[in-house]
Amino acid sequence: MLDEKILYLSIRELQAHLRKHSFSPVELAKSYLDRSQRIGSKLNAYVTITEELALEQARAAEREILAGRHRGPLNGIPYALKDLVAVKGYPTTWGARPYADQKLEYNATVVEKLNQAGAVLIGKAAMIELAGGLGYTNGYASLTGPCKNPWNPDCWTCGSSSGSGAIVAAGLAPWALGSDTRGSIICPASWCGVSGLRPSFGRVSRYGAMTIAWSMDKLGPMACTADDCGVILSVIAHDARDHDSLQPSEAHFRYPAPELEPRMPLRVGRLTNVWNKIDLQVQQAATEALRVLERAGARVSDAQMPDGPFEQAAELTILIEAASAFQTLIDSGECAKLADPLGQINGYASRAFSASDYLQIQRVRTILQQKVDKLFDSFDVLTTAGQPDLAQPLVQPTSKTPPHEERAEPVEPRAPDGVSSLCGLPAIAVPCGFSSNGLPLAIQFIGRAGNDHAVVAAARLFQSHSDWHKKHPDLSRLQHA
Amino acid sequence: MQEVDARFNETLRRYGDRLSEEQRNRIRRVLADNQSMLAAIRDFPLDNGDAPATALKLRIEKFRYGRIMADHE
Repeated sequence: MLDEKILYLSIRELQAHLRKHSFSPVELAKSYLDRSQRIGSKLNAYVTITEELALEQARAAEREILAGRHRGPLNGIPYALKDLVAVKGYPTTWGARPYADQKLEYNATVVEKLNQAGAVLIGKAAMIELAGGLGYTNGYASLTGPCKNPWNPDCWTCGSSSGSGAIVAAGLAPWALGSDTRGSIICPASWCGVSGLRPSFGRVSRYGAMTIAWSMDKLGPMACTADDCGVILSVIAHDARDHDSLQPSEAHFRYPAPELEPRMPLRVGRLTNVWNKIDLQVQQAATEALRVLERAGARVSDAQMPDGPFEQAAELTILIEAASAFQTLIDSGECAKLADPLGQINGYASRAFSASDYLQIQRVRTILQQKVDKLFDSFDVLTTAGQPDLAQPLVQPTSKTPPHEERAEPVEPRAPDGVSSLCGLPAIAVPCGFSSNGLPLAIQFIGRAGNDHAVVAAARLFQSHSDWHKKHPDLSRLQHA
Repeated sequence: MQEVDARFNETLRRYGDRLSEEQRNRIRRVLADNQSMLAAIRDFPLDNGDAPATALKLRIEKFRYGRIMADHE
């Protein structure tokens, strides 16, 4: 089996080794498979390991590389796929008990693209049930149990792309596909200390992926570096079949493409009004990350997210669209089989919204979208912490508040995940430090709709002047457990 | 709260037979939270012609020389 150091190499580095025949795609796939089987189960990171398919695809890549045929940057490179994306011949559980035996006998468009690129599917990653589409309250809301954070297995990975985050952080695959409706890539990337890119809405086809909210769902990569995310996006972007795909002239993501990237100095807007509260260590790490960017030539100045009910509009849009997407599940009563008590009943409440509620929200959304867009006349990217807090413990201290007095957290109307998801903006989270107890901290960059190049460029600039993305968790505690 | 009560009663009419007392109470709280979010939306000033983003249209501008240029430039 290949050394752990090799398994944490970037995609570009792995590809260079494959072309030099330092090792073969089969050796590489077997090493990640072995690691996934040994460590993945201890993290609850996978739903299914697709060993047979992985070896078949790796052998095909090996034959081609030996024959001098190179399909591109992902040829022979293993990956994992969030289990809401259909793969022919394997279960697609959507992370939820009502769909535990579901098999969709076709490949999602993104899988077809990866097959054509010669990528090697190692397995299907664990996730929060229905990607949180009917609500959830903690990491236990998953068919495969709580996904454990490789940096501290007593902590959660965040969700809903829980397994994807854990898999990359633990070096079980060099990258994984996640999905993001309102933060489901950005949060696990932040808490797991990996790079996670949520592309612009409509950039990547969702055909064959479970729907939560048609107007907000995105698929995107999680990997060791921002550059890797750019490489992967260049392979999976563009498909004209989704009705809400970007126009073909806009949907392609050529990478690298220096002429499409922001000119230096990069104009970075430091968001100063987006969190109600933020952990001091997170704040300090994000501030230091901006100093690094300034030293690297970026021009950083304060930016204010405009006023408006962004978070409310995002949350309500998801609730209403999910009530429609999961109408059959809700009306059949099968939602009672979900693990999370909130997920069991939330759909019933969401079915009480009216059509005029929805249209009112979408009318407000149009105006909010225009307000945010104006910010990008002055900035190439906006930035803030990846998340305002550290990875939370899997087992929360028991609340002393009786359940009947339980209240929702105060809404943060300008929370970055809500704003950027509501408006279809690209964002990337990358590691920028560690807390005193060794948990990853992250910074995120948000770009104008369609300007995915700007967020990748900003994150890449930061990573070329820092080495947080090269730190990896000590898994010895897991391996000996 | 009248609207929350109306929605709660309608939810119970449709789904009440499959809900425990605890679940009913939780639904009542969820509906109240949803109503508070809806209030923020309803407070937002809109004109008659403000159209919904029922098909989300991204505001993509032209890229030139690595900078985003407004359509009129």
